[in-house]
Amino acid sequence: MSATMLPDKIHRVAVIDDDEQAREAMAESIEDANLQPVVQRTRLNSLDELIRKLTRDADAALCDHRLTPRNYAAFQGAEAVAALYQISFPALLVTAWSTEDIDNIRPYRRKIPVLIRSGGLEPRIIREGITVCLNEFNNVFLKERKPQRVLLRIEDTDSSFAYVIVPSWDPDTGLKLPLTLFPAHLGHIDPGMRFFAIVNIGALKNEDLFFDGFEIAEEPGNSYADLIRP
Amino acid sequence: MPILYVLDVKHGNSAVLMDDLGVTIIDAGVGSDLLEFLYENNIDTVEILILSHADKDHIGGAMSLLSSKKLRVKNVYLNTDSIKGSEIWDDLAYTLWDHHKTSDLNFEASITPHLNGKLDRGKVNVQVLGPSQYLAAKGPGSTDRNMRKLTSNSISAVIRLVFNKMPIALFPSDIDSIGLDNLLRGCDDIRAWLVVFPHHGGNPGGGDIHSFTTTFCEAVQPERVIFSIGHNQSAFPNSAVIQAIETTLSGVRMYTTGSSDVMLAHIGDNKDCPHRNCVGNIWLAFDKEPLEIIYEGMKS
Repeated sequence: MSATMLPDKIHRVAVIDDDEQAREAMAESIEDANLQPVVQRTRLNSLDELIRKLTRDADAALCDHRLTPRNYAAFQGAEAVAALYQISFPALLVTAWSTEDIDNIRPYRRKIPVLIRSGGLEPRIIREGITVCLNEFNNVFLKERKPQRVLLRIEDTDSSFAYVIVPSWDPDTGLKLPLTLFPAHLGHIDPGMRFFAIVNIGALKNEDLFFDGFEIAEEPGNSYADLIRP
Repeated sequence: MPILYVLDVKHGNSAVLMDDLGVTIIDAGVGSDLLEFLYENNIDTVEILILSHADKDHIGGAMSLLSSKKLRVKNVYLNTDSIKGSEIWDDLAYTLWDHHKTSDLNFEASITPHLNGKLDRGKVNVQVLGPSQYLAAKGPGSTDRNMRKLTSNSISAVIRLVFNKMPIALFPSDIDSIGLDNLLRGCDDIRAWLVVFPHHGGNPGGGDIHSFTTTFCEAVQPERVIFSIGHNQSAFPNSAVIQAIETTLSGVRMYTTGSSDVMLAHIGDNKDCPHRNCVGNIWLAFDKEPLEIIYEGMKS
């Protein structure tokens, strides 16, 4: 039994996974956390349908990321968790592919407070994870999740990705970001460009970083222009 | 009343001086530790940010301060030579300009004793002991008067805090044996009650580690030595540094901010050992008698 206190309103936890065995394992973990599993066994045709069902039948959710392979859902788990975040509904994303799937999870990462690696689904983690979500809805962030405005530099690009450095996070580690992450109004993304963005630089791992609120960094003016290399 | 914080910023350095007329920061580490500390302490204005050593892992934390819209930094001082011409230098220029646009920042690309008298914001006298203007002007890659090659570490800024004429704390950044030799030639007193040991207690570079440590300790004569290190460190502080400090300084107490296998082994089962491993943030009230540090780990 976990010591993490949850509000009384959190009791029913939905299980969203395309794999029946995985659903059963999730349900057991939820029971071990002294919560009531609500297993979703049938196909979910849209995010609207998911939201409608969950807000009616559950108080929180555990959601696997890969939901499409068995034709279980019309969306991926990251998208679902982010949509639930928008309506302040606590949801935890579960995946065995946190590193491999990072490119399609990243666009939603700011609205995914908790990403649990498969195998790490302990009762304590579930209760703590729901608490993390509820805190974020009240603008209380873990250090690893706190949004900060920082500079990022484009090192290189290809047809799909920008390769960037975030000096305030780790000046020696390059990050690969999908170009789709950059809003269209910023125009073409080229090497050498710099942006300010909202990033959780307290994150310990690459896959936990989120990027949001991009602004083009203005080239230094006045005497500061002299600081820039020719 | 002034309070000094030596922050646990993993493998890096950062100290915050809260004085009567404002906040002074010496080094910014990398990442968000310093920024978090300032938020937690409701600090929205930094009077002075000193970047004593312009390694990229020091500038990262400074850039997060300058980029934040919740914080105003009024003055930034930095010895620039070690990073001029690099991408990270341009990154810094962008963040300085971004900050300047909204809050009229004052930036000086030099830290030498010419600043003395300009850095005080209350009762604590913030002194720049080195590098000399001669060394700073020559810069890394050139040589000193003895034709020894200067590195960026050789011209690390050395900052001392003095309160009621008592030298309280010394921040020698990453000074190496050549920098130390030049410092001692130009400065007859670098004593301080507390020191954040150079190089996180690692190899000072370009010199014998025992000789460097002994010379440094004899000159500074600290009673408290802090190693600002990351966690799960197996190489910091160097055991030769610990031994040389104990041999040179009677009654000294040593502290590591992060967890060090070396310090842990040195302390062993000795419950009377004065040294402490993995203490986290450290703070010091300047007016307390006797002077003593407090550290986070004391709570547990």
